[in-house]
Amino acid sequence: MSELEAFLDHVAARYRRALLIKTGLLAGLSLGVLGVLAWRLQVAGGATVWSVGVPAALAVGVIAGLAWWMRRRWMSREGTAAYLDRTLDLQQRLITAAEYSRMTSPPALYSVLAQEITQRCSTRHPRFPKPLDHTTGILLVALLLFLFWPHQGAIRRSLIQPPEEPPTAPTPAETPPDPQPEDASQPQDRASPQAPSSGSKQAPSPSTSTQDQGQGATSSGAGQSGKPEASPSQSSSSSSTPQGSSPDGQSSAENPEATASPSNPQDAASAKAASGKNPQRRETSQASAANQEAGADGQSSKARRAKGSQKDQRSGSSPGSTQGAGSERNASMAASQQAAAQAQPSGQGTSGTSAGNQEAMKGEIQRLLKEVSGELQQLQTQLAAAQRQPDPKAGTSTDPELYESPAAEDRAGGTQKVPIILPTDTAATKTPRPSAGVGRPSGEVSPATPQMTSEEASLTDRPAEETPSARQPIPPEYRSVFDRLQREGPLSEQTP
Amino acid sequence: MTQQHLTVPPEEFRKTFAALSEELHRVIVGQAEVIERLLIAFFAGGHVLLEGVPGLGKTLLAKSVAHTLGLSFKRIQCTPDLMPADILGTQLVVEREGRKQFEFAKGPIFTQVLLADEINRATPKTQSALLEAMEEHQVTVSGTTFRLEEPFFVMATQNPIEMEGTFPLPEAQLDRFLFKILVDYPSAEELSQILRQTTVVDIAAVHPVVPTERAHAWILNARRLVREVLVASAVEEYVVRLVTSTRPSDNGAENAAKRFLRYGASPRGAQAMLMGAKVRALIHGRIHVSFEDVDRVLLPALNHRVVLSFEAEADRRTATDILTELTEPLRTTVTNT
Repeated sequence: MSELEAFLDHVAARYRRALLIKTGLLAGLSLGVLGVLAWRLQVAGGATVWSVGVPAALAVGVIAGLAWWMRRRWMSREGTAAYLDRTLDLQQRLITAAEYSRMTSPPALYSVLAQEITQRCSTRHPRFPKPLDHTTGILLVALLLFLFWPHQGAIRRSLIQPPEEPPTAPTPAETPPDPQPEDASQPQDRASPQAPSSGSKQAPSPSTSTQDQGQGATSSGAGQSGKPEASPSQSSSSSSTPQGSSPDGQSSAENPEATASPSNPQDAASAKAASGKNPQRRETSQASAANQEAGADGQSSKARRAKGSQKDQRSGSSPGSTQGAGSERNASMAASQQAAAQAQPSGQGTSGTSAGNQEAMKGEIQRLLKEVSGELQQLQTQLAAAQRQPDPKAGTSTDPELYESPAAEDRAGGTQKVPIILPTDTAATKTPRPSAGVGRPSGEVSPATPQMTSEEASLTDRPAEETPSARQPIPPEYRSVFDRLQREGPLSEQTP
Repeated sequence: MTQQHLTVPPEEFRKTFAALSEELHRVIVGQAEVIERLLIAFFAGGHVLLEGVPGLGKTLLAKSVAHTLGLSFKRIQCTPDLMPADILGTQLVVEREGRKQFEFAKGPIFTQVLLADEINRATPKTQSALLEAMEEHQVTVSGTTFRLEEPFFVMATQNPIEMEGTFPLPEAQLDRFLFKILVDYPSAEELSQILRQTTVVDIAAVHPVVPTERAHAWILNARRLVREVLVASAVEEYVVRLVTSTRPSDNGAENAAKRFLRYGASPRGAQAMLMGAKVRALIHGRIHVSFEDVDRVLLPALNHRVVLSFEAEADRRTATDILTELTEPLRTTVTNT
């Protein structure tokens, strides 16, 4: 191998190494961007096809494109010579020398060319692909933007400071007897625009909201949302229940590790936020248990509030429902404050709960759940009916009394009066108008009408053609000239 | 083999070429490109056809080239009644030692630098008398072949505007010219300098750059050096692609070639391009041909080797326009590769 070939091989190896590094970096950054994009889509509550399929397809495309790109830039020895010629402005010296260097007896000028190349390459250095260039910079910026830009901030803001409650729709005419806890949950269902799945309209139950958020425990909730007749115990097994006061019962609702997938850091953050409120929630459930023990009538509604607060807390922990989180948190905080206020006078009621009381409490809870389930069914029916019929608004196309009922027009008789009567129609006229106005034609003929008179016609004896006009008479002063010309010959011959 | 073994080193060739060009510029004002192409064609071993209106110094240039190179020079003024024997020579009956015998009287073609002035005024028969001489550097008269003295260099001129009483050169004749060089008007500044130089008592004259006694050998060695210039296969392929792009009958011919050309360039055109590119590489201090060298000799080497179609003539398109349009994509590709 000649010195030139060794040089070219060395440069080619360095170039390939730099190309590999750059390609790897590009691939890593591209896949990182796509991964973050997939996570963003998943957090936004998009369908799996979009949140996983599209980034995966893009990733395949990126990898294929990078492979093609690298294949195009992968250089052989001759390619390296051409690349160096181009980058070092060697004017095809290297490709020429590379060809002649393979000859057994190179021509006389080859050595001169090799010396020239050595001189030029000693002063200039080849350029290799830089790992960090505009493309990698753009990808890095895109990755950082995807990671930290607006969505994450919105979630944090919603966790720290709940947004204002959106204006609620007018409540239907038939409202349940105790609408407070339902009102607390109703805006949640209406104000959760990021749960567009079909189940939310027909069954706005807590399990439905859980299903819409695409979390792990969706299968049972989905089945129950489609079946309103399902037993409350089933729904309580999948959704959060007041049994969460027992340590075992908190598994799905209050254990962030059980619901939040580890690949979703936002879920983990929200779950952590939820777990941070655990003592307060335990207090709430304990307070509701104390109220049960006291046997007051208002216990059912309070327990419902407490349950609602737990449900809201659980659904608020999902990152998808940012707007609903504020209202849920308000409701849960109000319920817990009420429960705490009621539990305080009873003092050590919670500590002295016996097993029998627990059984009674369990039964009471089941009864309350049935009641809540019935109310929910009723609300579902009302909501569905309200959604089916658009609200009639006066003056709009939904107003049924916007137009009168169409009456059949009597066109045959012409007896129907024109609704608009002009003053001229009723004004008295001095003279009759035989040929004007509305009415039958009089048959009179106006004297101003031109009269037709008969005329006799006959053919003329004279022919229609005109007789040829006589020649202009020759003026007397030119007569002699004309006579002389007439004698000499025809006029046309003398005309030039 | 090293540079010392070369009879004419590339550096000496470059310097001599520059000296020749400078000497010619003493009498020819401006026309730098014309002079460079003329000398390139000479060292490439070809002939040139100078085309331009009268009074641009074509004849002066030809005479000056012969003088600076230290070569013999003869001139033929072509007219319609010029006969081939007037160029080649004829057999004369001479009496020697009491015996009459034929003796060949050499014509003006037996020289080293021949100027055929207004060659398109000669009849095709007379024009064809130059064919053998230009290509094979020999003439055959009455069955006897005579070698011409090397280096043999023909410069022909023609007037593009005066077509009455002229005979356009046949394709075979045109193809034998390595370059067709278009001589344009000098600029205003150059014209002022021409006036200052030529309307005084002491008119500038050229002197031989290469001594006459060694001119013959030096020029032949220089021509050998030109043939030794290195060419990469990529450059050769580029020349081939440029030449084949002018063929309208090829399958992948460009639309412009099909529309405006009847016949494309011959293989002799490719040879002319590469030889011209080799000389250009040497005079620019390189011993290898680059793509740029090929580009610079493309038009003079090919613009008389393509036959325009009727549509091109109707559109008043010149061969230069069409060649530029045809080869531009190739040149762009090569430049960006």
